[in-house]
Amino acid sequence: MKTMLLSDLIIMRRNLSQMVAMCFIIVIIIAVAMNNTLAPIGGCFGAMIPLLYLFSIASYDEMNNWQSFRLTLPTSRKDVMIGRYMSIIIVAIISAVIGVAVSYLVGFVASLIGTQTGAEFGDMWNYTSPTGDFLSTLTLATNPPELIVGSSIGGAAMALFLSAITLPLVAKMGLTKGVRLVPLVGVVIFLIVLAAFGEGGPLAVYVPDVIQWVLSDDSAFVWIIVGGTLAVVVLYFISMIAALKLYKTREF
Amino acid sequence: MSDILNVNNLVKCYDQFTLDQVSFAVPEGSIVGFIGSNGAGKTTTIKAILGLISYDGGSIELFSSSHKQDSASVAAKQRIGVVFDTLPFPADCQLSDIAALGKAAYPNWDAGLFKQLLRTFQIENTKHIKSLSRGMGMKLQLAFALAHHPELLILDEATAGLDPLAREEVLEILRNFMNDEHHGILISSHITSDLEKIADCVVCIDKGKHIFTKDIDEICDISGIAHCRAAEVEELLQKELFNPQSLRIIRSTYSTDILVPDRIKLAQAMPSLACDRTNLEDYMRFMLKGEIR
Repeated sequence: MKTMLLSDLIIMRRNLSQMVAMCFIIVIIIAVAMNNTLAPIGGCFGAMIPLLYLFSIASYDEMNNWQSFRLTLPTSRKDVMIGRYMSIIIVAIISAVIGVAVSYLVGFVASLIGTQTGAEFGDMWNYTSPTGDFLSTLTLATNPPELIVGSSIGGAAMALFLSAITLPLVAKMGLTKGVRLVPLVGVVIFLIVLAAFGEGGPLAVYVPDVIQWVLSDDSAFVWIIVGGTLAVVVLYFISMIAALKLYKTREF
Repeated sequence: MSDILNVNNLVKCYDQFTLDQVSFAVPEGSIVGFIGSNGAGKTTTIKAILGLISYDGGSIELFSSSHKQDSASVAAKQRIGVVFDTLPFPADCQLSDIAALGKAAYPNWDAGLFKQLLRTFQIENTKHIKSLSRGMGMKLQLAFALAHHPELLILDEATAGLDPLAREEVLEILRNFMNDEHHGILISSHITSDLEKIADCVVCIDKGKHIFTKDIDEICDISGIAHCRAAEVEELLQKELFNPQSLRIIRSTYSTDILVPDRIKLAQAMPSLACDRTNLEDYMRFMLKGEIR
């Protein structure tokens, strides 16, 4: 597993810094230009980087037939697949941490200049906050820690959820073929959720209570993030078991 | 000398192709050439040995321990160096990344040897994989394959597409590798002249079936091709100098050529008959296309 984990990270180490830089530009545009809260920053970092990593590393597998040669290295198929899952989860955790750090950095800078109005920054920024304080929504005062941390973890959990769907397909048939089936699996999951929670579904009766709880309980956001993340971790583990079985019989 | 690699009655079935009970061995201290026409099953066999595909029958033993179906053992793979026909590393990697991969993968990775091999091959350490020529790429693969001190090298069309000078350099590297009598090489190649230079014995398969296993000396030094007129063909066959199953006949408009297993013996029995030395390419052609009397 260590071999595969290191192999993935060695191959991706230069790309990862590019991904972080690209993500930084995107979140600054989203957060500042749209006068948003700090939540999208952590969310973007947490979700974007692991997903970019997943699709990049899976592409590299197929480049120059690397995935076949990799199996000639002293590592088992089981280790290859576990290493891939571990590398993604490590990248997701680091991305969430970076997301939190960047959120606080942006929040800190916004807090320093947050007393000035949009007009003072000229027409370019005026539309974002024409009457109120410029960047007021990005200050640390308006963004509690649970929002900053929760959005980063939530973003990472979303990336892991999509990875859990994608990786078994990639393990069985490679990225080129496997990725075509990802939307289909997504639609199937959506239909299952709709059937369960939609009108007439067996779990539909609980939906109003959940909505009521989310609207009335201040801690609901935290519980949703914690519960969702735990559910994703379980799904991720199940996905890994499935991928191990599929990869074991794959022929190269 | 024990066998480093032993393939026994290997069977792999696809919809339109079957590798049918292929057997051969790579003993310590020997280079085994693996030949056959395109689609003969060479790469399929090598993939099965390396655990890239499962197989349906037979057995494969690496370093005297068998591996079943899905993969060679991790311990066995630590003792094998592999060279494919194309450079298999991701194109965006740099040579330092390849060194890091080797270090991560092999417990006995020799970073000093890898650097030394790169210097010997005149591959600059700053180069990206995508900027390497085919020849440089093959040398990089060889450096990677050798830098963990393997005992068995498996090369699949490693010299294909290289110019004669680069091929000669690669062959020299392989000769140096064989200075250790416990080492062995399995090399598949269409360039039979390369195999004549370095192989000790040759295994030929065709359409998934084993055709022959012969020492290279038997092919290039002992066997021969007799050029006969019609009457001489009958005379040669009637003399029963050789087992009829060992003769291969190819008829053309002006003469009939017969592959014989011992040209000296033929020359003594029929001094008037022209009989040339053969080479691996002709031997293979006769064995695959020749008619058995």
